[in-house]
Amino acid sequence: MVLLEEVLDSARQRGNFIPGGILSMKKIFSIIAVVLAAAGMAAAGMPPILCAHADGFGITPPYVTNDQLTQNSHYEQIITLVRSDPTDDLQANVTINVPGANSWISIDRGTQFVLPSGTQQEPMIVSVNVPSNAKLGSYSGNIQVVVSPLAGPTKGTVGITIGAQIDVTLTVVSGKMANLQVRRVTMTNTEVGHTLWWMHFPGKILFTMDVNNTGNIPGAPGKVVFQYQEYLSGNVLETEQNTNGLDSVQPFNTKTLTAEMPTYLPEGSYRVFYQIYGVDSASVIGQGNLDLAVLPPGTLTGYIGYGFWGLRWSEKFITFGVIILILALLYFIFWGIRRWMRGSRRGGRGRGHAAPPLPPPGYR
Amino acid sequence: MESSKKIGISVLISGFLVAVVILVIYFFASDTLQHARFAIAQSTATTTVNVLNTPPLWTVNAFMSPTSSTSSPTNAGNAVTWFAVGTDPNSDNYYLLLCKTSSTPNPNNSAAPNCVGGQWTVSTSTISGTTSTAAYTALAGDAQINAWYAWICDGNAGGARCNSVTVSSTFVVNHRPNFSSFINNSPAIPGSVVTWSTNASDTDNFTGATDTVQLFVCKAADFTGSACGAAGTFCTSTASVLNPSCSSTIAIPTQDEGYSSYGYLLDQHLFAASGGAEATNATETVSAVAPTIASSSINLLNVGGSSTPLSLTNPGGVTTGFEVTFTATDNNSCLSPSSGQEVATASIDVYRAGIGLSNCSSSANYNSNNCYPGAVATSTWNDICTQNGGSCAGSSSITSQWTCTFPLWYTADPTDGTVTSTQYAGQGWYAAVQATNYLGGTSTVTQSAATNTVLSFLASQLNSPAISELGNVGLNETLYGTSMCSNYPSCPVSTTSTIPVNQLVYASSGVLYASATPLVVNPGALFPIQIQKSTSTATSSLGTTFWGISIPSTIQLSGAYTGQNTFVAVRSAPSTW
Repeated sequence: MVLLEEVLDSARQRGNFIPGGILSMKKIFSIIAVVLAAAGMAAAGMPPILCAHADGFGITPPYVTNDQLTQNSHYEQIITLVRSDPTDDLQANVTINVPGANSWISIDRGTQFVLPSGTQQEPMIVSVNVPSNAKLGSYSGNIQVVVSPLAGPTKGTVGITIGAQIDVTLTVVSGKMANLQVRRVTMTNTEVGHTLWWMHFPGKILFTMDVNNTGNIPGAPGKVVFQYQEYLSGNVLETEQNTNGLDSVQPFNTKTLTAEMPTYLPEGSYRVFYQIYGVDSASVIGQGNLDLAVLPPGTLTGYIGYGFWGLRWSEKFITFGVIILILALLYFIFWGIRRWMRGSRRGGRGRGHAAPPLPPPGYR
Repeated sequence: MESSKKIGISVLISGFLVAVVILVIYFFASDTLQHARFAIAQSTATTTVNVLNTPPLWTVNAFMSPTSSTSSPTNAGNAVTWFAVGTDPNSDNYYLLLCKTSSTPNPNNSAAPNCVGGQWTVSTSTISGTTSTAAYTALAGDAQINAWYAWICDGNAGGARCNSVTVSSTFVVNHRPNFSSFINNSPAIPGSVVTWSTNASDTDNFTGATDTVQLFVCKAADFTGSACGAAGTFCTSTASVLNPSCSSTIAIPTQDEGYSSYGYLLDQHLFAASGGAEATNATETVSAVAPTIASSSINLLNVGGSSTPLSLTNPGGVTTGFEVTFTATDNNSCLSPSSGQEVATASIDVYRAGIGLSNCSSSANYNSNNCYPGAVATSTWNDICTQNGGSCAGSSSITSQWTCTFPLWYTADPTDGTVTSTQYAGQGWYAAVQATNYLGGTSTVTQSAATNTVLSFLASQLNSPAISELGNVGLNETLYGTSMCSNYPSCPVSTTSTIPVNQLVYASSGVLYASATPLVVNPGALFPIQIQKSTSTATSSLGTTFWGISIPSTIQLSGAYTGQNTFVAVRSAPSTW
């Protein structure tokens, strides 16, 4: 038995190759020049096997996975193509091989594009458009991204190209659901609320959430509830719910949502126990404690507090009623003035002109 | 007329005049009758009429205004004031005299009378029939209850006299409380209770019980006499007989520095202490407290602050720009007394959940695969934490926002996918934060409430003499190639001028050519070379592919043959990493 590496040594010692011979290489590098010569050309001398380095190449993440697709679903996955030493332009060739689902998959940049020199990262969006007649089930395969020099292999060499494989697993299901996950929350401080007549304008806290919907239909968190607690003892002082509507998050997307949270607490320091409810408002999809400062007016740069819509419903009704009353009052005042003015004009005419004579009896 | 007759007529006339005088005296005042009689006697003796001075009469009895009683005493240092109206029959001016005893005072001609046995005060000379006023400033040395006897006397030049009737009562002197000590039990931290203690009492007991005293602790020396001024009040004690004290909770936030607190003591009649500890400053010292971090505020973020999973993007190297954001809470506020940052520095630990915080807290725990402790030298792992500009709203705010940036090596364990795709699927990565205030007080190391994921990173490099694994997953290869010819890529189907792709063979070790695997065309075939995941940043994992080629004996065309082989890196099963 002859080992391949031993054959390589033998070939190198000979320095030429003949038809019917075997060349074995212990290791293949980025570029290997294989020069074949007919027996008659052996005397001219054969170039040795050539080797060279290639850039490091990678992808992240190396998969496109979705187990919540439905018919007519659209799903996108960004794959980042990276290079360790982007000194030259490279040609990227994308090959999609997902039996049964090849036609669903497309690349935003096409299947052939250039990775320019100097750019270490290039995003590539893999889109999956599930047709309406797609069969339920799982579809597996891969997408290969191969990069190679634009010029192709040098004549007389065996060009070496490298690539990376994106594993694809797609599952088409019939069930439809929104599945929300909270990735990050942040909360602003607030300025203390204020009172004008019967209206109590609360302080406004902006509670920001990054919500990821891994489900296959749009969905929005049902509500956000704040429990304001005394800072040290934890005694609950106030409980409030978001006053604004929360945007819907599209399937397979992440969106930053902002809940406007009111508080009627005076200036001071508090602890907030927040709860983010799911689509049905029955389950909590995120909760935790955050620290809050209710600050004096004018403390926060760019702070915009609540207006009319921040009032409690009872105060809104009262305000609305007062406005209606004022309008009614104004109406009656103007109506009265108008009537008085008409009356004045009539009275003036009566004094200045005699009433027309009545028609004679039987007149038609 | 005879002289005897003249004498008789004179006697009769004299007797008549005497009778008239007696009748007049009886008519005007019975109590002066004796004097009149005496005068008559004298007159009789001297045969002249000399009507003596009469003392003033009480028109309005002496009274105090305001009253001074046990329920409304006169504070030492304040005046007790008496008023009276006297009317002098001779229209002489009169004096209101307040004596300590009931002994009849001494009138003085053309001068104020004086008491016998002690005198409180005497009025100025007052026109008859008008109100006289006499005031006495109560002294600290006066007894609590003091008797007084009021007299009115005229200042007649020839025979000043006092009314024999005296009006008497008492006035009550309230003495200042004693206030010898005023301290508090600070230093204390925000949220804790500071108690101001005193050594104070009151010796007065004219109400039947010992007077109580009350402590006022003011934020400035602005006590109004009954309450603290505009600067505010720390606390007010309840009334107590001895050593009143009061407490106040230090607000959150309060900067760590000294705060003036002035003590004032009032007795139950609102009479303040004087001297001693009165109005002295017992500085309330607020200590620095270590900052805290709410675990829910800690976010482990991708490059650029995105909440997407952490994505490594540098094959075989370090990906920089990952972030940890958090809210630092400090009960001394976010602003130091010198208007700098209260929370001065912060450091982070970033680790895979399976490692745990306790195993990633010291520099010795550093492991590029799973543990990046902040304790490690910055030359090894450089995490940089800074307070976000403008995130501190001043001394009334407890919070400030922070952002730390840090790098991750390409070896960082992926936690995405499932157990069939990565070794630690579902574990996630935590960030733990420790903040330090400007005095060096450190928070506890707080772990984030939620994890983030490190994505799988599939990267490789053809590098002499092998394939290097430059991501964070184990590798296999998909290999394929093209036929070789001199007219590449338009290779003819020819046995004489085209070397078929399957003449190239590969294997994972040195084997006979016939035992190796022939190369195929695209899409190729999987070559389970099983290159392990790199675990060292110094040397990456390598995989060696053994190649062989056989030149078909049918090849006739000489020259340079060109072809292309492709190596596609494929993520291997985690069991082979």
